[in-house]
Amino acid sequence: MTFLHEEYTYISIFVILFAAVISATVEKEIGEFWTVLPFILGASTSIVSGYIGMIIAVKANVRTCKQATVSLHEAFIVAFRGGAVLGFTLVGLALLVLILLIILYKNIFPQAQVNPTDMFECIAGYGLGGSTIALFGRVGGGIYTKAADVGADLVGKVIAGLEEDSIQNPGVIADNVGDNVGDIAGMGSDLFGSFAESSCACLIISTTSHELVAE
Amino acid sequence: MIAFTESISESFIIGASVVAILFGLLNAFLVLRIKVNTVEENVMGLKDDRILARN
Repeated sequence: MTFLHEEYTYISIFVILFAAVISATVEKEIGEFWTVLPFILGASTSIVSGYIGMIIAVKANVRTCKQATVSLHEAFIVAFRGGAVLGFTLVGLALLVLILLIILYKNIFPQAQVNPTDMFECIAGYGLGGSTIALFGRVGGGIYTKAADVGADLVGKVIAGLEEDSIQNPGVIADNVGDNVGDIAGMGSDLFGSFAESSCACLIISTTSHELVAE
Repeated sequence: MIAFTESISESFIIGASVVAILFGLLNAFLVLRIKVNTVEENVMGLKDDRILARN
């Protein structure tokens, strides 16, 4: 959690700077604020997804180990439920924020005043925000976990002659933290980014439909 | 008719997403209700006899 907190602190600074760049370069038809708002919301939801994944993964790991001493079936059930927490919560949260954003924009910008394609292009920032966090989560977590893995192996296996992932090697903790950050928090953000981007792309394409425009 | 269908679909999506979040929280509850020993309890051997015996 400490690593994740530190990583997201730096990412937040980047998100604010990138939001300023978007605000300065965007077309002024709808307004800078309404273009930056989905980007910030997407980034925030992605960060929340990463935190949820990290918290439940750490707790489910311990409980899966404990249940494995009882039976393999019990351990599988706990592991499966742990995965279901991230899956259901992430998809539900992403969908809820997106639909609330669409309802808000539809009420603020009536169809008679603003072209629906322009409106949904603004909302597409939601996917961009999610992907920005996913990029840093995946790449940052991947570099950290590889460095920790190589460091722990060099010290533990080569120099001290310990086994792989030995409990006598403190570097293994950093390795496991890196695995959690890259493979769980990063994957959660990545999943959110893919979901949000594909949904926003479908929305933009649907607004170019002749049948919908004719209505 | 289109506005009616649109409002129905919006309500459906909101309901589905809330149900998904609640289902996720239910799974979280089912995972978290399993009691595990803390590090201190394991080290002191207060609860888990198997870990105490192994140590």
